[in-house]
Amino acid sequence: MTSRMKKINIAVVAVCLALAGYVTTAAAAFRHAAGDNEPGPAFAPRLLAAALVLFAAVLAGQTLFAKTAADRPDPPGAGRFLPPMTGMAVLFAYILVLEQLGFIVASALLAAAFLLACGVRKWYVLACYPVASSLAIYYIFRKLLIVFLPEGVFHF
Amino acid sequence: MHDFLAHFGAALAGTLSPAILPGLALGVAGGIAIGALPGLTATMGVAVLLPLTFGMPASVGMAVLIGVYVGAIYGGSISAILLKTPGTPAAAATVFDGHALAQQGLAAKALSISTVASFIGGLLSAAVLVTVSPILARMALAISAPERLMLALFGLTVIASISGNSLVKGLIAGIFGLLVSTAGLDYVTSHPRFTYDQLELFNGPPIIPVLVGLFALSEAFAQMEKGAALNATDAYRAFKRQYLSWTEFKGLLPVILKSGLIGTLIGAIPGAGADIAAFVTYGEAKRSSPDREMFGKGALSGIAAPEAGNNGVTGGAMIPLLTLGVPGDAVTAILLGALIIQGLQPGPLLFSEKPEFVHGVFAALVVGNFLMLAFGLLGIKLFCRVVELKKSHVIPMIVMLSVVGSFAMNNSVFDVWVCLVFGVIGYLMQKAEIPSSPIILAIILGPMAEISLRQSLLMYEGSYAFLWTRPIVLAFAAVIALSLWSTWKINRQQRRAAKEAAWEG
Repeated sequence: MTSRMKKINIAVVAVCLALAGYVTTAAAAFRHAAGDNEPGPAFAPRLLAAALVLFAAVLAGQTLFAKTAADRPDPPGAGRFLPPMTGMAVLFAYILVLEQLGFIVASALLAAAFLLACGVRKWYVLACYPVASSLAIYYIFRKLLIVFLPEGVFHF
Repeated sequence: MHDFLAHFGAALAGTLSPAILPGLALGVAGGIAIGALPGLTATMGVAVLLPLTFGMPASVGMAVLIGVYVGAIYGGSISAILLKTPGTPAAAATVFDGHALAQQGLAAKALSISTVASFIGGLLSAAVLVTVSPILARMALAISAPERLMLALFGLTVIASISGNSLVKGLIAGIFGLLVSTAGLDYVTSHPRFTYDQLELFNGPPIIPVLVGLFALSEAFAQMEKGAALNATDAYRAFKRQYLSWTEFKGLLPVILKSGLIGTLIGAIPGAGADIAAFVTYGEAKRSSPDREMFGKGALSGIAAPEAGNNGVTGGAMIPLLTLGVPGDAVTAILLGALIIQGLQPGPLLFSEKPEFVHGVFAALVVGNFLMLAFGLLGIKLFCRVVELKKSHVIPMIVMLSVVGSFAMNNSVFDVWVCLVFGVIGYLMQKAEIPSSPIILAIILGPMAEISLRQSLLMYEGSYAFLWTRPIVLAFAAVIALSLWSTWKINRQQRRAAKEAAWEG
């Protein structure tokens, strides 16, 4: 196991323990009103939290007792976290403004931002692709499949 | 028998007539398109097109809806193979090997396997529906909460098969999925669990946004890391025009037939649908395959089994609908509504009072599967154009389809947030080498397992006696034990072989 994977595994164990702790605490507030013949709403979450602790402990054991190997060289392009982080931030902003701007405008901006984040620099692609794709998706879903996509301030 | 053949022959001729065939063909084509679009399920396709059939004669309307059902279940595999984005939950298991094969430049082969397996699975289920539906319907009625619990547990054992290199990480992912599945109003007491006062969570976690986020969005984020490599030629773009060969087909036929039959049986059980069938048949194919180490890397059986299994459900789900008037899944529930609107009451009397209609349904299912085969095989070249596009151009499209697919089911922006959250979770899980597929399996099977356990306990007044007093439960328990033992044995053999190879190296 590489030293990097060991660090990641320890982080996974920490997240599992935190999640199990939260689930157990939250489940304590679940009201049991169905009588003694069934285990109640807290049963499954508590059981799963216990199982999560158990497997987190196994993963911790595997990680701590494994021999440390040298880190593998990264595959080409790996470790460039800025583009995916940009993508997540753009999508976050998109969801915030989706209902205000409407699907067509917001999605055209979203597509243009993702094209830029993916390294596309040709102006005609950046100009045509977002508009054409958002219009095409809107037409298929709104007009043919009757999905009520947000119209926003612009009504089409 | 003679009467049956005469009725079925007449129904087949009627289905092939200009009055019904065009509607059925449009239904199948529309279903394939709907299934291939991420977020649009067979249920949604049938529901959307239902109002259009109100003005049609019952036989035509039913043929259109059956066409959509058959087409949509198959169509989900197209985007699963090409974009790693299952069009429907039923195609989630096809992603593992279908997309892996597409990345090797063999998208046409993956699509042809999926098309042929879906066709045979669907046709087999139609044959079972036609011949033994009353017997199977009685068997399905004997299946109650304890048996459903065992079926769900059996399905969950598949986690061991899809966990990749680390079983512990697969189990952690599975438990996380089961925890997510507990969100919503409690099934027995209606007490809200992990809903945070969000009405959208009261019915449980929305499965489509979770699925799209974990598979499609996380993959888009992971691809974005590659930057300049997105425009370079790679194995994914080195597209080879190779289709399923006759030799490969002969090798796959036993898996396809077995998976089709398992899918039909699962479809006949009320509450168990195409998504469950796909995972169960995938796990079974891996367990019984001599090349199990190829699963997840582009195994042909890994595509054929879930596709035959999920299309096997189409005929299976019709069995309780037509014979008992009980819908087997969400789609057949809508079909039940369609029948009632047309003035027909499904159940045993339908066979005696309207035999021509029942045989028309059988014939539509058979012809619908042939149309699906034709459209699927003819469309492969067109579908494969997707893999010839630059990834930098495909990624924005995947993101937009993920958004609209998440939104479409409930017209809810909340579902798009769920998609983003699970997209980020899926991306982080890729970094930690944790498989995301156990989460989907657990979210699909978790509610069935919990509801069935608690219903069983209520049935037996708090006693666990149902575990050893019901023959089908005992049979399921034996199958689960056998399956876990064989998985353990296979893993041990693989570890030993890997160690020996390392020593020799």
